[in-house]
Amino acid sequence: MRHPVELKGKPASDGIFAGPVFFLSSAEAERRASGDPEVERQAFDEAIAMAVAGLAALTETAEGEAAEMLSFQVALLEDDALLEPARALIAQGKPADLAWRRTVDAEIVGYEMSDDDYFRARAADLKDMRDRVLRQLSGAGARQAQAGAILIGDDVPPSLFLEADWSKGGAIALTQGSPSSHVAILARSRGIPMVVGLGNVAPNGHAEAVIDGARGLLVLSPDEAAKRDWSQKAEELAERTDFFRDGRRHDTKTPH
Amino acid sequence: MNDWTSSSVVIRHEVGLHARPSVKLTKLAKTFASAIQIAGSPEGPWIDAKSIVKVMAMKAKQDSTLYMRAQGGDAPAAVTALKDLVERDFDEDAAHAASG
Repeated sequence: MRHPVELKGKPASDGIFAGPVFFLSSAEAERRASGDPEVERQAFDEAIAMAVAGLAALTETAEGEAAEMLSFQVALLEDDALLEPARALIAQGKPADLAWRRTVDAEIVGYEMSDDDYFRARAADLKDMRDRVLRQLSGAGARQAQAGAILIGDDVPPSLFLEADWSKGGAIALTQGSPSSHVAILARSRGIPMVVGLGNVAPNGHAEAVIDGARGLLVLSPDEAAKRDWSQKAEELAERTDFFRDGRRHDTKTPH
Repeated sequence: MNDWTSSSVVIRHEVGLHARPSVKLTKLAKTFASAIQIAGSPEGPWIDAKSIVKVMAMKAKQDSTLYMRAQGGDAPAAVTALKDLVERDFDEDAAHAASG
């Protein structure tokens, strides 16, 4: 039995949610390089094609800001100015994943050094795109997050948010991240509670948690009393939300 | 040395050539067979208008002048189309309303 651990971060999206925790591992699956430039080149081209296909499928259901972000990633993956330097490194004998990482990282530096907030923020899109291709190369494919869970990780790329199943609710708790990120905007628009900047979260043995988006709070392994307390708060919150949504008072004293 | 068809236009878009306008510009450029280049100054450096990586790297800001030139069979049409797109502010009004 784990003791409750309460962590304080920054609010990113309001709402209370209790459920199982799902740790997004930042470690990528191992990939064994073939040592043959021809094989590496083929693996690289396949990974790019798969990444483009995956993004194109997401684009069909996305709209607004999310659709813009996805089409930007597709345009990058179709640009020879980005692909050719990676292919040149592969031809020199570099493994496909290393060649790709080196090429995209060189590009990311340019964005991160910009004095313009907008361009700096695009670095996240490039990292998202880079990691999608790396997952394809390592055979990890798309990481499907568990439905109805609190996703815990360092940061969540926008494309993973769009791929996740939110039909059973869920929440996001990040050790890093920002309330003005793409994912935070998406979370607010879908009513998914989210907290960022929690610092270190040790995953050891915690199976469930509650999150309070508005207060920037994450409680790992809450005890029974705490859970009752939280579910009452969540109900009150839902009632208040209904109240504002309906624009009229739910008077409990109204005689039947 | 072959002749280039050239033109220039002022970018009015509120954040300059950001991701959405850049995607539109490169997509339009790719519909032409001609080599198309853009620059932030008449002296260059000239970059490939069909490359999103290079177009974004220009970091062209609002109210800056975008110089464009094309070389090939459909060069005049390409330059006109690109200039129109920038003058129409990348057809952004509708997109802004849609995304809130």
